[in-house]
Amino acid sequence: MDAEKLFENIQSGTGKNPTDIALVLDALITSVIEKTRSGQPVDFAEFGSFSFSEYSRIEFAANSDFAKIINYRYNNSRPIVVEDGILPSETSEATLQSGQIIPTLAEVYPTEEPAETTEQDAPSILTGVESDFASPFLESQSEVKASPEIYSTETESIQEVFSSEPGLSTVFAESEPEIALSQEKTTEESSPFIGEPEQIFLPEDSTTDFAGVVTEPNEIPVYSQQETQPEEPGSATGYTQPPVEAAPSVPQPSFSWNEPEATGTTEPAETQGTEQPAGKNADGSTGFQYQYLSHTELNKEMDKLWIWVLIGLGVIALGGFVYWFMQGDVKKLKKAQQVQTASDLKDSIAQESLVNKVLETVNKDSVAALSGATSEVPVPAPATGEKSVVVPASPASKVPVPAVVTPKENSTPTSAKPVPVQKTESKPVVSPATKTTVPVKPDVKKDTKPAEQAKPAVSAGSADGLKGTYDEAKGGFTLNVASVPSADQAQKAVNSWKAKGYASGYKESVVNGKTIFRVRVGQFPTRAAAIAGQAAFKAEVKDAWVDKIK
Amino acid sequence: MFSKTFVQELAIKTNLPTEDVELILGKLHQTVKETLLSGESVHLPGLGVLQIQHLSSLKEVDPASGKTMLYPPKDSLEFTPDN
Repeated sequence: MDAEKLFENIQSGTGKNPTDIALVLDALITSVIEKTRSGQPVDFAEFGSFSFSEYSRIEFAANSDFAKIINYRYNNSRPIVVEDGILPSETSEATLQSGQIIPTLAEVYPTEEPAETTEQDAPSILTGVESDFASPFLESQSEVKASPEIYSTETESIQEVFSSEPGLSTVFAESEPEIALSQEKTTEESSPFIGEPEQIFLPEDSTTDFAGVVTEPNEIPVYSQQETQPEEPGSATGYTQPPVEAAPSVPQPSFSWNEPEATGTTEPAETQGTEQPAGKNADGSTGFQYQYLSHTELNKEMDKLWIWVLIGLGVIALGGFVYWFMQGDVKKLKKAQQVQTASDLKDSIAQESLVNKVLETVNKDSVAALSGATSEVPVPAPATGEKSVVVPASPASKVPVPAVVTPKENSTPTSAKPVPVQKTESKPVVSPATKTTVPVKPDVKKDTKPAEQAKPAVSAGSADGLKGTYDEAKGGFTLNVASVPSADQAQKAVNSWKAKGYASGYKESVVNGKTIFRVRVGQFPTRAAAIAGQAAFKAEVKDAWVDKIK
Repeated sequence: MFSKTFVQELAIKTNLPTEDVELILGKLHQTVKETLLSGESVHLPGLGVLQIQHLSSLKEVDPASGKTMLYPPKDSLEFTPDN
């Protein structure tokens, strides 16, 4: 209806002047706009109210009574559950969309609240379309009581559980009214969660939970959807309770060996006296067996496990520390050994240098002695037939001046060889200046025995031992100059050395099972003299080595 | 429908008697109501259009229960303001 028709209707209905009607309508609209824009809602009784929205627009909200009048066809209609998307047979979706078949809609959408049901007709209410009207979130205590099959609480009867456990019945015997009250409360609270299995962990000492399930201490109740049993006649509460079954604890397997001693303490009283054979489980089987632990026992085992883990970590850390400490000690020892080796090497080098110096000195001395010995060529005895002993006058002068001593008559002539008397025990390092030569005094001419004068004296550091004859029976020391495998070769070598004027010989020896013949040159009374001869003989053979004549 | 204070305000603005203003407003209310119930819209010039809107039935799945629900149709009064 537009403004003109509205104006005509009002004019025909009231019979007033059109100007007055126009003034009133204009004033009405102007005042509504002004008031709504100023924030004041304009309320028209039995019609609705105009207001200014936050989007700067004028809004209109119909009065509830007027809205019911407008929606008179669908008032009190409620939503229905469509099974598998199929509508009831009386109507179709097209007719519902049109909204013109009011009687059919009245049948489909009930216009009245479901009547308060009783226990007798409750099963009939639960069948059919009407049962779906009850929303699980809008259920009330009366609905729960009237529909035991749907709203079964899956809980046990606390009284039954208490009666089955003598200890619990005595404990809770005095609080039965409180238990009944809690049963009703827990039924209302737990009804929305019916059918959803849940695992609820309880404290150790708790025996009841909110749903009324009584469990053993340290056991975990498991809620599962079970079939309800018909209600016993005369039941006070009207609840249906499932059969009492011990809620199985959640198996927490732990791998352990079944020990007979442990089973005797944990088994019930009926089986405590029974003895199990060693190495066998309770069921007679052998081997490993799963042991089901409760929640608290599992926690204890986990605590022990943590302790062992911490101990293991500590042992590992200690081992690492010891290893690190030992590594440090080993490094220190290696460093000390290196330092000691270096010092020993230095000492050995110093000793070697000292030995070299001594050897050089000895060589010098031996050369000097050899030169002195060659200068001490004895002067032949005078042809007068007088026997004399040539004695070097002064060893320090290196040129001995022979003193001609006229022997007495009774003196026994022994030999014409000069006998230079020297100390044979003197070491080669001793300089020749320190050598003491004992000249034969004329006063002791009587006492001088020819044997003593004829005794050959080998001076150390001289090449005297090299010359002469080689007699192995005399012993002493010699120089090995060569080792040959046959005696002929040894003899040839000996002959060649003898041809050069050296005292030479050979000796058969066995080395590593082989027979060798050692060619020897010279014969010295002491090792020192042999060493001196070795130095003098170095010009001939460098590798000659001192050996003892056996 | 209209309060007395509002009727007096309009009477002051229009310089008309209160009875005449109340009569005109009563007739306006009756006309608008009958027009809306007959299914027609009413246009108040300068204010907006009042009309009854029919909402058809709606089939949805209830997220709480998981069941397919069929919601009934509904007639409601809608207002569309003028610019």
